[in-house]
Amino acid sequence: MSEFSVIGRRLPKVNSWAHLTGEARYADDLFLPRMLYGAFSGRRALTPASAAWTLAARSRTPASWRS
Amino acid sequence: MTKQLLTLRVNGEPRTIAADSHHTLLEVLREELGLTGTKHGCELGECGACTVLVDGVPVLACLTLPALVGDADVTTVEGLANGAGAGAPGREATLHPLQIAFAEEGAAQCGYCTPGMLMTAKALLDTTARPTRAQIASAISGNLCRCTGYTAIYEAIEKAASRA
Repeated sequence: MSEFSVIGRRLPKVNSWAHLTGEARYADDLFLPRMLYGAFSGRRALTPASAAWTLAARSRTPASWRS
Repeated sequence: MTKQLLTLRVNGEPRTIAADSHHTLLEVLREELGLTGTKHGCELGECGACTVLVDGVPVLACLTLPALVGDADVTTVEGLANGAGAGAPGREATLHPLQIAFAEEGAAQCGYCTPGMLMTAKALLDTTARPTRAQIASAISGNLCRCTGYTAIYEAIEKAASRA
C-alpha cells in the first residue's frame, strides 16, 4: 500500500474528456455575434491580388455577422 | 450570396439549414450546426483533422460538399459518445471504448487531431475487429498528429479493439 495517492499512478489528463468528446474549445471554434476576421499582411499598399484576397475572406464570413 | 436549403442526417438527427452554396460539409457542421468538435485544419485534405463518417466511411469534410452527402448518415465526434455530457465525472461509462482508451493511454495531447483520429479509428474497428499495428498505421496514415509520435494512438486503438 503506497502512502501516495497520485505519485506512481496512471491518471488521465484532467482535460482529456473534453478533447475526446469534441467539447474542447480552441480559438478557431469561437463564433461571436458581429465577429470580425483579421489577417496580417506584409503588403504596404492594396494591390489587385491583396484586394481579391480580402474580398474572398469577407465572402467567407456569414452575412448575418458582417458589420 | 445564394443560400441553399439542406437537410442532413447528423448524429442520427435530421437537421435542415440554409447554407451558402459554396460551404463545405466542414463549414456546415461547424458554422451552421455549431458542431465545432470536427476540426478545421489544413482545408486541403492533407491533415485529416476534419474526418467525419458518412454512412460509416471516413471522409474529409473540408473536401466534401454537403449536396454530395444527400440523406446519408453523418457521424461526428459529438455523436461518438452516448448522449450530451458523456465522459463528465460520473458519466465515463457513456463514452465510446475508443474515447476511454485514448484517455487512458494519453493519446490526446493538444487534442486537435483527436476527433479525426477517433472517427478514422471507429471506421477501422467497425470493419476490422482486431487490426494489426500495420493495419492501424495504414488506416490513420491520413491523420496527422504533431504531439504524440503516434505510439500512444496505436496503443489506444489496440486497447479499444481488445475490449470490443
